[in-house]
Amino acid sequence: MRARAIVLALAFGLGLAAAAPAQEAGLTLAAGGFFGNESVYRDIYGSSLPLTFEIWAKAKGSFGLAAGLCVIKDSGRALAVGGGEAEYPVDFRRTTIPVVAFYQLDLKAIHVRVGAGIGVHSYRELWTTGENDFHGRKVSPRFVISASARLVGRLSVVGSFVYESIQTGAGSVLSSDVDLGGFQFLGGLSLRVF
Amino acid sequence: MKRVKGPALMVLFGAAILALPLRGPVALIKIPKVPGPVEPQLATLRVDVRQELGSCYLALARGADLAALRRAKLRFTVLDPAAGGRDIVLVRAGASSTLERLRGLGRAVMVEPGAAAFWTEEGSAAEAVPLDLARKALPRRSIRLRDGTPAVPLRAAPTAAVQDPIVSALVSQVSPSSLSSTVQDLQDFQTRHTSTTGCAAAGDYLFGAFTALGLENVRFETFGPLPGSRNVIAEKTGSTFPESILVICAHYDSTSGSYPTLAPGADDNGSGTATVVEAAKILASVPLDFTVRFAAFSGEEQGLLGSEAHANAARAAGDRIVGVINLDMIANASVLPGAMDVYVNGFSAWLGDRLVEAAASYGGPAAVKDVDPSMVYSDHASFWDTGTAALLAIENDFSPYYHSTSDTLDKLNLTFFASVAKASLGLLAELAQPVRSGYPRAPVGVAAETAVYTSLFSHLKILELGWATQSDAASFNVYRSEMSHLDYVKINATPVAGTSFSDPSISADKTYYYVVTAVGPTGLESNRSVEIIVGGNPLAAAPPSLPFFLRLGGLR
Repeated sequence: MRARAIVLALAFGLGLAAAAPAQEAGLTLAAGGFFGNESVYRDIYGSSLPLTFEIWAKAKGSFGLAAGLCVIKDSGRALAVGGGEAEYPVDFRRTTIPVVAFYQLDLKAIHVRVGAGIGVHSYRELWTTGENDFHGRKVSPRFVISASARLVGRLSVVGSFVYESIQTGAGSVLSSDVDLGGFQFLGGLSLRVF
Repeated sequence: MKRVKGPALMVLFGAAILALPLRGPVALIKIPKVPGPVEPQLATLRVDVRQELGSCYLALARGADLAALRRAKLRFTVLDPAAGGRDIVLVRAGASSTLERLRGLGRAVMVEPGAAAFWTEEGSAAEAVPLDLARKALPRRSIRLRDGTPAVPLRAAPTAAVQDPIVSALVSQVSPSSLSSTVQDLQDFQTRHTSTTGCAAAGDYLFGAFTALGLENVRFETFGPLPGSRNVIAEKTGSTFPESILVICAHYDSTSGSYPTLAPGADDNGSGTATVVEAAKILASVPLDFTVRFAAFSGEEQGLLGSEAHANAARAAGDRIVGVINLDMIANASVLPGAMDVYVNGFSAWLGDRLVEAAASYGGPAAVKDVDPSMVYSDHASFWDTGTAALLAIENDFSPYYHSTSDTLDKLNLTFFASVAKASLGLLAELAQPVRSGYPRAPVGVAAETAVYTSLFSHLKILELGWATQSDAASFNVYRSEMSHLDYVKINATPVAGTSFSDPSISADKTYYYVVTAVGPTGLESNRSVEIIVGGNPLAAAPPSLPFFLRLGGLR
């Protein structure tokens, strides 16, 4: 928890540092679909719903910085290998603090951003019947492409595509090194503060 | 016709070209046991392994096999580049002078310290080996590999001896006079060398003894052309688990420097044979859960020929042999109480532990377990070759009359002899489980299914045990161990009322051994069910009777 707070504070610090000379800054709230790289993830949880909150700031040129919080939460059932009819519900939660530098291309009313950075991930998989509880942390690269269009006043509609590869180095019977990354397609609203 | 001939010749020519790599000489090779199990690789490569020893495997291999071994980075040494069709014998060669003696008689090469491979260009290699040297013919077919000593958990020390009163009562019936009487009878045949009619007569005597006791399936098993090339087999069928068999065996043939006329073989191996007969006498009228097979082998002195034939026949018939107690030279002790050596290999270690315990419980001598896969010079080794748990019980104070005309009854120490017989019978009776009057029957039809449930980072392996209903049981208990037939621990916290039990606390990469007992309305607990083996490496865990047990190679 302490490490997470430090990283969060660092991200906000970076955000503020970027915002100080910033020409523009704002908040984005988005949700969408997550499609895991790992087939075992897809078999257990299918596609998941990520929720993202982001603070971004753009400097005078075309470069900017974004940081925030992304949560992926889902439920599924443990897979029976080679037979077995019992059901073991499992819950999965991944919290990511993304810190991404981006380049913004302004095409009249549409702003396209291409960004790269890191994601600081904290994840937990819990067997709700109590048999197993797994926690982990990992830092991985994060790539983002997004586009926004002004809706009304300072409010814009945003669509994003995020890719991450999160090799955890841990696993179980079907995969010894689970990749918690994958593709995210997000849609949401962005509010320009100034 | 011409139209057909041309293509046919071409096909034949092509087939001959393709078959070329399969031809060529068969080499005898030695594959060292390296850290990390080599057995799975040998299984994958289908290597024709013919013998396991303490430090290595002996195998027959053609050029393509050698290339495959090289590709797999398995080290090997060619001992004989043209071993095909040879009659190769392993000889116990403790001293370097032994190798020289063998080289004076034929070709010999050291395989590992204490063991030499020996063959002759003409005649029987086994017959050419001097009488004072123990020998074992290289099996005529691939052996069944099981994981060696390092992969099998071994108990460091025996647990405290626990006497079973029913078994104690049976053991108390062992009679030194009865043992000596049987040895005298065997000695009276003058010679029991396999090539003699004396051996044949001894076989008839044993056949008569087993028949008179009312045993079942009394039969000769002929394995060669000589008069004495016959095993004598008899059974006491188990009332609860007739398909599960315990074998007590000894070789009844003998040898000496004057074997055509005189080879009394009182210690080697009238003593072991008399104990088999004594066990048959005592158990003949006792209802047992498991089937007991009483086996008197011949041809042992020629390289374990009789037991090899029996073990291979049992393997082919799918006999479910739980364990084999082989008794060979068990009556010599210069001073009392004397000591008994118990030789086992890795997968038979449990049997050695159980004999050591039985010796402590039932008046046996001091017993020392020795896990030594190189000790292949008696009939237990034929069972090792088929993947069956087997032990050799042998006197620690080796008889000075070995293979001599002086190996007579008067040289035996009857007190020590009877004590070994008691320990052996104690173990046999414990494993065969006398049926207890007034107790519930041991559960039958015990079977196991495992299910593995996995999430991203965790898994759960669940064992579901099931068994047949029985009217005399109020509940059941389930016991588990990580070693076969040893140290079972009850795992059900409360009595199991139904006929199934789930064990969720097992690891996916371990082997577990389960037995089930029934508890009657008055609280009396039954004998154990057959042991169920679950999980782990099949090479390490599977009993020989199970189909998934890996069989290596094939006949060349």
